[in-house]
Formats: sequence, structure tokens, C-alpha cells
Amino acid sequence: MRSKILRALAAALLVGAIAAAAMAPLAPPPIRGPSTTIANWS
Amino acid sequence: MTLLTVYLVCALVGAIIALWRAPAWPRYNLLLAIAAAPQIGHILGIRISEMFIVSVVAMILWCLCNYRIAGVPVVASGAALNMLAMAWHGGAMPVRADILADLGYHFDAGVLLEGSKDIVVHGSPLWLLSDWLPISTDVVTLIVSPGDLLIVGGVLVWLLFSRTPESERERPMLAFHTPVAPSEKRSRLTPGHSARPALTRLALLAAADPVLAERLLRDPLDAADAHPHYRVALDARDRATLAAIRARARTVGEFLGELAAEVDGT
Repeated sequence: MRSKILRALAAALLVGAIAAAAMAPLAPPPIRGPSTTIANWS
Repeated sequence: MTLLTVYLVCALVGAIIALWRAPAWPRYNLLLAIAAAPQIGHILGIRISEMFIVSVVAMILWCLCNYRIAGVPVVASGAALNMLAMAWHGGAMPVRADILADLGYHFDAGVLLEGSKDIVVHGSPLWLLSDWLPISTDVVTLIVSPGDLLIVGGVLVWLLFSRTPESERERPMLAFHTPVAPSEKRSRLTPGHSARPALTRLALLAAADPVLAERLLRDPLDAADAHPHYRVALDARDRATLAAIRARARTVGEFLGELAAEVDGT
């Protein structure tokens, strides 16, 4: 049981790290406007 | 913070799946942490464009170190698509203003969106790689990129299908749960009396040599043909039988059990 919990914890850390490092979804709900405006890149 | 919650949910789903079945473990995971740190900083408002290069390099190295693991090549493809689009826009993920407008969010081009990695653009040569696929639920609305979907798919493949007989052997605590089928089925072998002499020979060799048994599970025809000491001449019927057993068996124990049953004609 202990090994399963450790395994789950390690998997959670790995999945979280992969998501944070490589995924870039946009979750827009709080419409509070932009915090930063920078030069137009496009 | 919604995005960090999304990452936490991904981690939670990963933990739940890992509780159910053990994946193969990647190596050099510190590289992932190095790749993630600048990205999390970006989400929290600490934007240093040069750090994006650190993320890219660390991610590439991690993928190269682990490309043999199922799912990692898919993750690498998704990450490459995302990072290509982000590199084109100075380290920020482009999202088209008209897609945001369709969802009720109106921003000018060039605006970095709070709590995300995204920058609003009117258009981009790489818009197909940008965030343009809206996923709306009652709880949250997400706009994802094709790369994000690939990464999710790759992670699921890794969690569900990366476990191999080798990784089971490396974990004695898991191997303990392997059914005792090999020894049980081995006792049912009756050499010399089977109508399948080649399969009998193969089954005895496999029962005596766990490494051969594992090779048989992976590729029975090659392993049978390429035994270093004992040549096993399989006819077409034997080959068809082996292929059918391979399609059914998921573990070495199951493979040997099925093979023993065929040899004994049961």
C-alpha cells in the first residue's frame, strides 16, 4: 500500500511537471482584463 | 490561478491512474522541473523571455533521455508544436482575438493574459499550433492547442501502456502478484507425448529460461527462431498458434500457461 501511494505521488509530480512545462492551455474565466500590455508581437 | 488548478487536476488524474497500474518510470526528471519552473513563473507574472530557452532545452533533453518509454514521443511531439508556436511569439502562446471574442472576451492584440502563458494576436503564421480549440464545460472553459491534446494523449499512453515485462521484473513487490501459472502450467507439460513437438520443445525452453519466456512474449516468432543454442523448427500451424497466444497473453505467466495448454491439447 505504501509503495502504491509513493507511486501515485511520483506520478502526480511527473504529470504536473509535464503539464506545467509543455502545456499551454488558456483558462479565461475571470474576466478582469489584462494585467500587462506589451508591444504588439504580431 | 485557473491554469494552475488545471495542472493540479492533471496531476491528480495521473496519481489515480498510477494507483491502478504502475507505469515505466522516466529518468532525469530534474530536467522536467527545470523546464517547468520558468513556465510557472510566466503564469505567475514573472516573465523572462530568455528563460523560455531554458525550458525548451530542458524539455528536449528529457524527451531524448526517455524516448524509448511509450507515450514520451507523443508528449515530445506535442511539446514541440507548443514550443514552436511560443518561440514565434517571444515565449508566449498565441491565441487569436476573434476566438476570444466568440467566447465573450475582448482583448486587443499584443496583450499578455493574466494567469496564463498566452498573448492575444490578430493572426499568426502558426495559428494552427496556437490555442484555438475551445472546450467548454459547466465548470471551466479551456482553449487548448493541438499540442496540448497530443501531450494529454501521450501522458495517458505513458500511464496506461508503458509497463513492460522488464519493468515488472525490476519490481519484486509487483512481481509478487504475478500468478503462479508458470510453475503450475510447467508441471502439465508432457514432453514426448504431445502432437506439437516443436511447441513442446519451445515451452520447455521457455519454462527453463525466464529471459527466453519474456522474449517470446514480446515477439514469439523471432524469439523461437533465434534461440542461441537450440533451434526450434516451427511449421505454419505452430506459428499461427504462437501468434494467437501472443495476441491473448498479457504476461509471461499467461503466455506459458496458454502454450502449455496448446502442447497438452487441452
